[in-house]
Amino acid sequence: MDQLLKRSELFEGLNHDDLRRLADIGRHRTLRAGEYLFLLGEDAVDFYVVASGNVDLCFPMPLGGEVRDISVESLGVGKALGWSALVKPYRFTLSARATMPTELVSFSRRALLELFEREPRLGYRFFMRISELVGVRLETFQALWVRELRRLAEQRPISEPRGAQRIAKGG
Amino acid sequence: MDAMQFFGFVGITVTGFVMLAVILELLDTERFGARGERRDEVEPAVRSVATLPAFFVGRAESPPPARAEFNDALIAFLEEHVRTERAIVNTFVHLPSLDSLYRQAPPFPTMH
Repeated sequence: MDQLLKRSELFEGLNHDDLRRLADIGRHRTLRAGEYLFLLGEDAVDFYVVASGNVDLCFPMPLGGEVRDISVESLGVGKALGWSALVKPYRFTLSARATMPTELVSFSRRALLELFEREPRLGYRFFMRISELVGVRLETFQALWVRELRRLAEQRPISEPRGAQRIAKGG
Repeated sequence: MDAMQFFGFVGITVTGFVMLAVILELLDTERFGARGERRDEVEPAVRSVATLPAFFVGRAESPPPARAEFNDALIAFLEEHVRTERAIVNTFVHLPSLDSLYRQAPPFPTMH
């Protein structure tokens, strides 16, 4: 398992001992194609790394009396998911679904935090890496949102009230 | 004298009835006039309401907006949109600039 973890974006650069410690607390989990790993709103207890296969992160969307999942990100081998398990309020903000037979390594929050209590240097590196991933996610969705906002402005220009125009023209 | 009193009573009664009838007629005429005025006020509004069905019929004749429902084509369309947008945004995340943020996406694919 430590070889597998070594390939993960999250554990890049960790030495053999650290990978060994993480592998000791990791558990294998398998999913069938179409099976859900977690659902939006569920308690987030475990954090995952994809070992093989693929997991889609989805937003459930209600439309016409039906709720369907829209995939917003596809995660392949080495990708980490489920960081909601490490951040309050410990609830998943997306759903995750395997698109093919998939293997994952799962880490429980408790086991990870206990390990980092014993190995603070490892905990520091781990959370630094997590903050990078969370930051990228934040910037990505922030940019997606502002692009949609601009699209909205282009599609529905709203004219200024007349009074405001006069004031603006009058200085 | 009794006959005089009788005819006087009858005369006063008849005159009273005539007066009453005239007053009632006047009141009715006023009410009718007021009703007529109100009708004059209301009728344009009624007419404008009466024209509404034609307005709506005109709109109804054009195809009604499609009721949004999920189907595989819509989901594929949304997911392709997300993929395209993410690809553009990834550039921004790695090299933030106004250009990379607002880079134009290719036109929406047409849904069939």
